[in-house]
Amino acid sequence: MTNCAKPSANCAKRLVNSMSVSNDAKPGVNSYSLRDIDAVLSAFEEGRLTPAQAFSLFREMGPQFEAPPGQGQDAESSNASRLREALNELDSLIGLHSVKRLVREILAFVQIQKKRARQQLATEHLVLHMIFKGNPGTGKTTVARIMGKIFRETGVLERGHLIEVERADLVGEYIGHTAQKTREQIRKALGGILFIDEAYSLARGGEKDFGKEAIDTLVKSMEDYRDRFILILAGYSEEMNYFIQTNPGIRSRFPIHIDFPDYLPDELIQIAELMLKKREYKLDPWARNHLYTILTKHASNLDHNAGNARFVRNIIERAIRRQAVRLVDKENPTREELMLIRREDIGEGL
Amino acid sequence: MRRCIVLGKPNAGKTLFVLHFAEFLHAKEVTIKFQEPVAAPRKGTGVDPEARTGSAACSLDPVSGSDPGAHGRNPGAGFGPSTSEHFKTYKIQDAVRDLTGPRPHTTRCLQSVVLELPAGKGKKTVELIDTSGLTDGIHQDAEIRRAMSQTLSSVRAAHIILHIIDASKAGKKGAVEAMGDVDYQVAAFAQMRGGYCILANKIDLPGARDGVKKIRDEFPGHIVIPISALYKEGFKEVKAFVLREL
Ligand SMILES: Nc1nc2c(ncn2[C@@H]2O[C@H](COP(=O)(O)OP(=O)(O)OP(=O)(O)O)[C@@H](O)[C@H]2O)c(=O)[nH]1
Ligand SMILES: Nc1ncnc2c1ncn2[C@@H]1O[C@H](COP(=O)(O)OP(=O)(O)OP(=O)(O)O)[C@@H](O)[C@H]1O
Ligand SMILES: [Mg+2]
Ligand SMILES: [Mg+2]
Repeated sequence: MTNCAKPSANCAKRLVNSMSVSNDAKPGVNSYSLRDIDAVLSAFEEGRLTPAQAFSLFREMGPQFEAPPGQGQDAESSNASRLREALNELDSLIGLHSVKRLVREILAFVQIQKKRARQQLATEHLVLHMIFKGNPGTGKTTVARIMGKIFRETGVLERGHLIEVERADLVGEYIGHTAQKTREQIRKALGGILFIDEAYSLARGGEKDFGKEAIDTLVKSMEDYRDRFILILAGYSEEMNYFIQTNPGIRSRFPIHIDFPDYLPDELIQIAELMLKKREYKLDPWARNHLYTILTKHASNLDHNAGNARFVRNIIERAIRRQAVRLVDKENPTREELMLIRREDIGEGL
Repeated sequence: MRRCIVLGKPNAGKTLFVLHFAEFLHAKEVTIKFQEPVAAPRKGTGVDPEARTGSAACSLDPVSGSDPGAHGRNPGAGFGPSTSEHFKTYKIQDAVRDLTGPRPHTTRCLQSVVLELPAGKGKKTVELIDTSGLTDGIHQDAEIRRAMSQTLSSVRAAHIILHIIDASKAGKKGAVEAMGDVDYQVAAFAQMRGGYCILANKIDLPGARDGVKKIRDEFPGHIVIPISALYKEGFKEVKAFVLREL
């Protein structure tokens, strides 16, 4: 370790240089390990650094959040258990097999990069901005929210929360307004995920449209706040493909693309039953059969609404209201009756 | 649980703020967790391992020898092998008497309390961590350096940073409390992290108004909340800030 008789900015610099994994390592997710922080603290305790210099070294190491030292083990094991919880939540989603596989691949990649960093091996810079393609109601937001938790527990994101926005939240009414609105949303998302639904709509209207200003602001923030948030652009497949093709700046910055296929009628029935179970209701066999018919018919229409979990949720919620109307005048409904959804509650779809 | 660290120069009023803020949130008593550095230093440090024995009190007691270590000592837990933690419950006014004082470096280890903040229908809890004051220069006392080192290491693990600056002495050159290098570096460090605000303290004292203005000028782009830790002024704003960051 560099020895500095007198503390100075120079000495602090030398100390940092002697600590970094390699000279070209950038202060990012993995370039510094805890050992380096220990080195700063030791140097400080030995009286070779002022508190101000220690802070300036911390700053050079990047904003990476750390679990409190010592509580280490506790924190680590509760991180691990919360990670398991998030993965269980992912697994409990119906269908979405390819999505689940991809999430696990990303997780494995993140974890191995961390282990490599600990062994002082070269690491890839983690770029985790993503494009989600699929129809509405195919689980994009649900998956993004779970990913936030996974990234939080693996230390990639500080908070892992999800800020969900759409064009209207980003685009303003006059010059400069858009940049301001977009930056505000980014600020809220720092430490977590900024999820932009129907992101392709930012490119509608061409050059003069303020949507372009929003895109530029987003791209700039991705540089300015590297590693501090993850941006997910979501929307219909075709529109997103077109959007990516016509915005090369976007294409090069989003290495991960995930397709969310429509659900099959069987999957939709399972989703319906899951939603009902969570609310402590259940379908009687006639109702189940009827719902299946509606979903199959709907799927064969092949419109954007096919295979849609939101469609299912709407049917379920309306059925719950209709059941209430059916039972409200009944003297003493039994527990079973209060739980059961019948065919007539389902009605004819929406 | 989210961790909120309170830091700043010695005598800025950190401890008084923590205790009165707890009282402001309707706590009548506080249980303080003391995490003190144990003699055995981190590997590679040149500090004399005999320099400090485990039984010493964590705060320089301004009044008498009431040793906060007397209750429920729990060696080995807490910050890895180099700290030991113990708990003590105080009435707020007793804690103010025992743990705050006009001399710098009254607080010599991490002292945390758990607070409940109302959030919607429910409550959110936060660990508020009082720390040892940070000096501009290198302190000649190894024990105090070790205490400050705890402040440094816990700041990286904190979700929220409350940086207290003594507004009544902000511009007084030479005073330990005066704004200095370390304040600027803390602000620069916190800037890239978020969850940070400056509490301009002691606004009840003469000259503090100018001090607040000076702090605002020196730290543009940062949130500055004027407070009096003594009279609990500005605490509503602090509470709102903390809630927003939880
Ligand atoms: N008038 C006035 N005095 C204050 C205020 N806040 C703190 N003090 C006084 O300032 C002195 C230092 O307060 P502490 O809370 O011990 O300060 P600290 O930052 O914890 O100091 P160290 O632990 O020594 O670093 C005490 O005498 C307090 O009573 C305030 O808002 N107004
Ligand atoms: N695969 C799934 N398994 C179980 N529940 C699901 C699944 N996909 C969606 N849901 C549930 O369906 C409801 C509606 O889902 P929906 O897909 O609208 O949410 P979303 O993720 O915001 O959709 P998107 O962002 O794709 O429009 C949510 O309550 C969600 O929990
Ligand atoms: Mg003091
Ligand atoms: Mg104190």
